[in-house]
Amino acid sequence: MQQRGGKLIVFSLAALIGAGLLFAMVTWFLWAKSIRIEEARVADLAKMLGQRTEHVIVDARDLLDGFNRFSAPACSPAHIEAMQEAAVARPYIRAIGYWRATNRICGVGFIQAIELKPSRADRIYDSGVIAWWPGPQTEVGGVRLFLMRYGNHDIAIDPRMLLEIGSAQQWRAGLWVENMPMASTPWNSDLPSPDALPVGLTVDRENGQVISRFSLGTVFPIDIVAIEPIGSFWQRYASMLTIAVAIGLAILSIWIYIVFRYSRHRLSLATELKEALDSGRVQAHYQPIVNLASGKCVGAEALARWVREDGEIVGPEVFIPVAEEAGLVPRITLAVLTATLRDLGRLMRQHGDIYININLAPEDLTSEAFGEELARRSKSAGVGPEMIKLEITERAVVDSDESRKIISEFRDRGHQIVIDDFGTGYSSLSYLETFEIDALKIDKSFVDAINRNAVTSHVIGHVIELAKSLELATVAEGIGTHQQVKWLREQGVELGQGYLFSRPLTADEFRRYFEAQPDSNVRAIVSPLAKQFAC
Amino acid sequence: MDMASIALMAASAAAKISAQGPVARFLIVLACLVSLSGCESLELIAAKIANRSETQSAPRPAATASTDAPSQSLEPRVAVLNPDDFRQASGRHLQALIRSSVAPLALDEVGFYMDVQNAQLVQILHPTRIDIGYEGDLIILTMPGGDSFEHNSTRLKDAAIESLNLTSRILLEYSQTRITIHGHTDDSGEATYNQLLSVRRALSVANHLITAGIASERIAVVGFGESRPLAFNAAAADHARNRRIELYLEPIAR
Repeated sequence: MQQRGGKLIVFSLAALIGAGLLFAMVTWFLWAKSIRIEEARVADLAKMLGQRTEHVIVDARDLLDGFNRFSAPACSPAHIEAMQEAAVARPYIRAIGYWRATNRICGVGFIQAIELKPSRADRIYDSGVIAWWPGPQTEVGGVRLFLMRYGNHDIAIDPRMLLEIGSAQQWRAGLWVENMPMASTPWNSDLPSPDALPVGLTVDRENGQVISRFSLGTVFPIDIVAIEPIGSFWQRYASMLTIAVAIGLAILSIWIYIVFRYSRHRLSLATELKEALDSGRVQAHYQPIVNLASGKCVGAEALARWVREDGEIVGPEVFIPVAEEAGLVPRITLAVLTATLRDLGRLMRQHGDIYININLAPEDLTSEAFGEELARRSKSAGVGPEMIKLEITERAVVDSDESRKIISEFRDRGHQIVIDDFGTGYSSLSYLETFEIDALKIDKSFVDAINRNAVTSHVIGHVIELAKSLELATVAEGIGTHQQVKWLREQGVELGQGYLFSRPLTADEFRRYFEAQPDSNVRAIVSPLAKQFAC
Repeated sequence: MDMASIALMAASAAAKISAQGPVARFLIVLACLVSLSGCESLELIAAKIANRSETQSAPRPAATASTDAPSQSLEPRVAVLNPDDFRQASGRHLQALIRSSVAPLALDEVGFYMDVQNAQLVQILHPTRIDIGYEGDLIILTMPGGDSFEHNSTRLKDAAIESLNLTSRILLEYSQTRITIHGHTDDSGEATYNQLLSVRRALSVANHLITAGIASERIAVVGFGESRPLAFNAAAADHARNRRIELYLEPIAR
């Protein structure tokens, strides 16, 4: 139980860690992708805004240069008209003026009486262009303007237009030109200076926002800082992250399913088998062995059956490999012995001539433990050794002095030794002479071939002859037809088992089967009907 | 007209340097005459002044030369400031100018005024070799000596005249600017002579500005001679740097 619990924990941990890793990987990947996409999106936007700003500034300077070279006299109708046209054509221009020193002589504008004289310029360029960044001194009607003067002309620019991006964005954004704040949206937003920010996207979880900073520097250094609530960032990438979660959960489920199946089939089958052995749920079924001549049941082969908790019966072909892997084979042999003595002890005591064959695995022949158990238990059950025959496979007896010694001890105690599945294992027959054995079981594959395959039929004939010459009894396995019975009997095979007589039976069924047959002393005439082979 | 005024200024400068008295009077008259005749023998005059100075070692006048100069009959009048008392003299000149000004700048307009003036000077003087310095409310235009005058002459070179024409266009527009013209020389020759030469050169520039239409009241000149070199007078290039005219532009603001 402890071992099982430990393994379960290990498997659960493996499942959780594996699933968690996969989930984290998918989530991380999509999160990183979202960040990249967002970065690219904001970078594009920043680039667009930066280029627009640059264009506006360069355009304003060119306009001013043009007016400085204007051929018509200053403030003549032609001059005014030219300024008017330029201002109307550009939505960001609020006013154009012609100045003499500190006096605005004439001009055009959407803002009345614009005669701003900010005390200090932010930039005086080598070209003679002088500029005032938006500030309290350039504020007109609640809007802080960007002023640019060159020669005798100036232009007032509404910087809000520089950040205008059409669709309503849930973000706060700021535009810096030459490291000085030019515009922000909404107006007067409190934004961190770009110098303090890394280029690209920063996720500020503390304040629940995504901060982006992008810089351009062709004519002027331009920086864009945008702050977006993390919520709208999530919103934009929600579908993507939902997919991530879905994929993650799917992977999780598949992973857990795989782990569960694996543990059920591999790990827990062994532990379950062990538990079944502990709680006596490994039982025996009995395949009757019949005298082919009389049709009388002379005994049975005990076969291990595992009755699982849900009532499902598992055959040895499934659990023997598991048991071999887990080293549980001797325990299964013991369980069969225990079941046999418990189920049929009374029957065997009543009918002295009945015997039960018990299959021994090679592992049972490596120590004397089983022999001692067998002696002790059969003695306490009042069952004589002649009533328990031991079936061993060819491979269990080959080239093993230890096995040979143990088998010899069994015989000394009075047990008969039967070689199981004879003819399917090793071609060397030397052990037939070196081992002391009593009977051969002819494998089902030979029996099946009777009258069907000439070559195999030929082989079975030799096997039978061999057994006769060694004075060994023969038992045919897997008999399914009367034809086979007839042939075998003609060949002198005395005993047989198979579905023709009976499938393996439970203890109760076997007792009823055995007791329902005619008096064991009466030798019934063999009937071609299967029922009359009543054991 | 030009030569007359230059001669006058030279004379007044001479008067300032030498002790007042009959000798000085003589020198002034002589200087005027010489100047009018073409400045050929300036060295001679300077030598004479130097000799007198050595022998007499009289104290120099503290008052601005303009008030002392016997220039009643000659127009325009330009203030020539005493280099030894320059700071105070300049201050008095500016204060007088503010008092007499029709429309001095308001103090809160000064920043804007100087900024835009500077920007326009930067723009217009960009192609010339005039260097512009701007700090606080003071713009300093430096005309490199080598490019401005012939050797040992007070006559402006053509390039300098062009630069001054451009400058005066801005200064005409910015009428609330006081212009102080500083003359400097290198240290070759006698100090007294160099002092005289620097004043004469400054006056030459002043004269040009006045010709361009700038009110003479806005202008003051001072000759520092070789006393304020920009560079140690070692190589020819240093000499060239030190020979220079500087225009100090200040706002006339109340």
